[in-house]
Amino acid sequence: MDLLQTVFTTLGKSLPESEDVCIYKSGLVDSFELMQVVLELELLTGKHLDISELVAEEVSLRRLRALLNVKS
Amino acid sequence: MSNDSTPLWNLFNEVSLGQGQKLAIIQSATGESLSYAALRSKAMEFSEALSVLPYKAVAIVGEPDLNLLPIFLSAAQLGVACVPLSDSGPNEVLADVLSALPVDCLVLSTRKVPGLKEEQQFVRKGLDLFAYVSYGNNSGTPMAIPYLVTHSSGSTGRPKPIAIRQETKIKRTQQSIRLFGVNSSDVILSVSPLHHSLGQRHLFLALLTGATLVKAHPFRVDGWLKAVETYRPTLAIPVATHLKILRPSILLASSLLDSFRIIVTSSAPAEPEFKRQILDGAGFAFWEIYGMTETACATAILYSVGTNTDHLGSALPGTEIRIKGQGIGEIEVKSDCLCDGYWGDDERWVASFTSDGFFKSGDLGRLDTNGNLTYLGRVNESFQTAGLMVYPADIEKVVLQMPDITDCVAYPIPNAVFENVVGLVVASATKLQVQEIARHCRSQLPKHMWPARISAAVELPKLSSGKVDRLACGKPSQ
Repeated sequence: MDLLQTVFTTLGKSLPESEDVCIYKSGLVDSFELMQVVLELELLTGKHLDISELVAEEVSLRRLRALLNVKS
Repeated sequence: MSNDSTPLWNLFNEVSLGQGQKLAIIQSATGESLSYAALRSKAMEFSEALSVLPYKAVAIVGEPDLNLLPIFLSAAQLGVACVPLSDSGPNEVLADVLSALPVDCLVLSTRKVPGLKEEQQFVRKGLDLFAYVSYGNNSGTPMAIPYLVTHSSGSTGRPKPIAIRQETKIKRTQQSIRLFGVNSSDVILSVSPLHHSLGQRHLFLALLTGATLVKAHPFRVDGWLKAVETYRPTLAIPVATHLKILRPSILLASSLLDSFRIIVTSSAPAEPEFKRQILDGAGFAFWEIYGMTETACATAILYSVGTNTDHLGSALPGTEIRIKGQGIGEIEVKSDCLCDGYWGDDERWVASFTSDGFFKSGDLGRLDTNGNLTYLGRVNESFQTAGLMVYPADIEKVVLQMPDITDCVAYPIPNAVFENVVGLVVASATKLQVQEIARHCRSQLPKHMWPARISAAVELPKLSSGKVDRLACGKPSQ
């Protein structure tokens, strides 16, 4: 299964329809859910994401994939 | 040499004369022991040696062995202050603590203390220790010489010199004697150091009742188990951390605790689930107390199978408890067993009280409609994330429900956007699945308390009291 799909399923969330939608600003996840998205992604990839830097720009699936260097 | 100003010595003297050759203290690691008669005799020898010296205080750095321990009683006999101190901290901290004392002090230390002047007149009589002089600051208002001066642990920042007079120590000991029905047939097991108030509580519970104290400090699982098997203790007041470390052994063989008639947890409240597990196999009275060195026991509860183990009971006679503000807030205590001040630090002592005379505990809690207290951590441990308050104790309580987890600490990780995010460090006897911990937290906690960073360790750093060193836990790479 796709990495982001796995994380969203774990958190009981649906993936956004577009790869470019900001999951934070769109209200798909709130601040605390976003922290859990980050935690789960880090646990699965072993990579570190800076939450402050992350929310400074759009938090889209495309950007998350780029930051983690994973493909859809 | 005894008189009305040395009531604790008088009481010990009376008890020791009645107990004679009965063992007063046993050092479990070595099997060495002192009878009441020998303890009294050695204390009086120390008193002779000390009485020719000009000091109004004796500091004991490091855990005293049975050769040095009687000096606690000599101090009582002579009416000088006894200042037990840990030898595990840096020399600078030790020097700061000693220099803050208001009087000149004889320092007896298990290790060299650079910067202090050697004391040549004290006759060591074969004692393997260093003797020094520490000069008091002699500033501020001269105050009465207390008996015990216990310094609060490093978990609260700058140590506070908590002063207790002999009368107060007796009153506090009597409070525990009444509560737990302690008598001369008890064998009391202590793993706490004597520079900690819990170690002192064990010591005086034994010596003022004629019971036998088994010292098993420093705490080690095998040492504790051996002491229990060998000496068949009837009473112990371990910190919750030690009980948790012992949990696998206790749950594996509940008969291990057969000799106990009473076990009291204290210092850092134990988790409800853990208490339920202990209770299921307990053939002893299982108590939990809430208090601090300044107040002695403020609340207590005797648990029984099936009762609510979430709270720490209600205020003891002579004590009032209230919460600052509505709902959750700082626990404020008024107690007739209150300590006698911070020695040489009146300003800090006065600042510890509300305008109507309640001691500000620095602990967070809430009271239910029956006056039962729930502890929620230290005031300065709570923090905000995205505008909402996080109480680490709530998180830790939930995480410790998981099997095999022995300790955990929730702490704030500063964050530029959210002010803080929740960090969690967990210790476990087995390999941890961090994802499982995250899922468990999400299922049990409000979302603002979900840990955003989780790390694992084999063991968490501890203070010498046995409590987890929360400051050190919050320092891992984030």
